[in-house]
Amino acid sequence: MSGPLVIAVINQKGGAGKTTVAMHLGAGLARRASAVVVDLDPQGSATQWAAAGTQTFPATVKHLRVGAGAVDLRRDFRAYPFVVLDCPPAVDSRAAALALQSCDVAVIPVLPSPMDLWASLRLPQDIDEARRNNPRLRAYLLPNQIETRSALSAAMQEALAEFGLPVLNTAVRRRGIYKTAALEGVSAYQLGARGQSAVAEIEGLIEEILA
Amino acid sequence: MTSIKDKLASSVRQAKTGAESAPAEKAEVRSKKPRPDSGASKPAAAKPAPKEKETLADEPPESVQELFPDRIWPD
Ligand SMILES: Nc1ncnc2c1ncn2[C@@H]1O[C@H](COP(=O)(O)OP(=O)(O)OP(=O)(O)O)[C@@H](O)[C@H]1O
Ligand SMILES: [Mg+2]
Repeated sequence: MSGPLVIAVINQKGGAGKTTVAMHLGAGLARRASAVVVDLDPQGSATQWAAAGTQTFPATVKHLRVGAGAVDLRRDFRAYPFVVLDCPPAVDSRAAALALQSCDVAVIPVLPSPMDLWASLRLPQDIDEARRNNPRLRAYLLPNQIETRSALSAAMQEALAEFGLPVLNTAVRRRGIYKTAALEGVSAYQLGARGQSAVAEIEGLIEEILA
Repeated sequence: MTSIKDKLASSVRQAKTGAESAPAEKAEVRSKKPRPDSGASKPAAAKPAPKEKETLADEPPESVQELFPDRIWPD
């Protein structure tokens, strides 16, 4: 496979953690080779994140409004070995469809809550449809905002089995540091000892994706 | 514990059945009341306003706050 590795962080459900995960994947991948986070969300959260604070965000962040015209993400961002797509919370949008058509890997953050799980249930079907034109697509569920002592978090594994998509071994825990990172316009990688545990799980996630 | 596990998994199974039988935007809320005949006039809210604010995102889910009221994992 030539060209960049394109990772789409996608879920039509709002607030699942797409931007948080996309920004941290971008930051972690940027330590390996140059990486760009493409902000496909009209809300522009990733762009705002990168603009917050005084430090420069470790990955390049570009806002892209997907209009009616044809867009070739793989070509447009071929200068970057790693391209992370932060998708808007609507799978019917052109941006989300484009992301699924263009990516090698789709990472689907899901929260341990019934409503979030129900609202994410259309994704397997969307993935299947995207695979018709994009047979290389690998898709994984990523449990996000997991709490070790929460019964719902513990119940995730079985509920996720219903999706029929592989679940990443790495789960992202609910950590205040992810919010701090957004506030400061950086990633956990820039937050020293405070960011260590978050960095460890993001590294685990990246290793799984790159494997 | 086990019961939450079962409840969550079965709620997802149930939601899945609904999602599969009514794909895309056409998904209907499964109401316990029988539906009125097709002749009956539909409530105005049943039809989405054309095109308006199509790209606007959902709000962050309220469930997050309900389930984890201000509890943040220590860093
Ligand atoms: N692992 C986590 N620990 C703590 N807070 C988190 C975590 N993941 C996400 N959040 C918080 O949850 C909220 C939603 O996260 P985020 O904006 O990343 O989701 P999103 O899927 O991009 O939302 P949208 O659908 O609006 O684009 C934010 O306040 C974010 O800081
Ligand atoms: Mg977002």
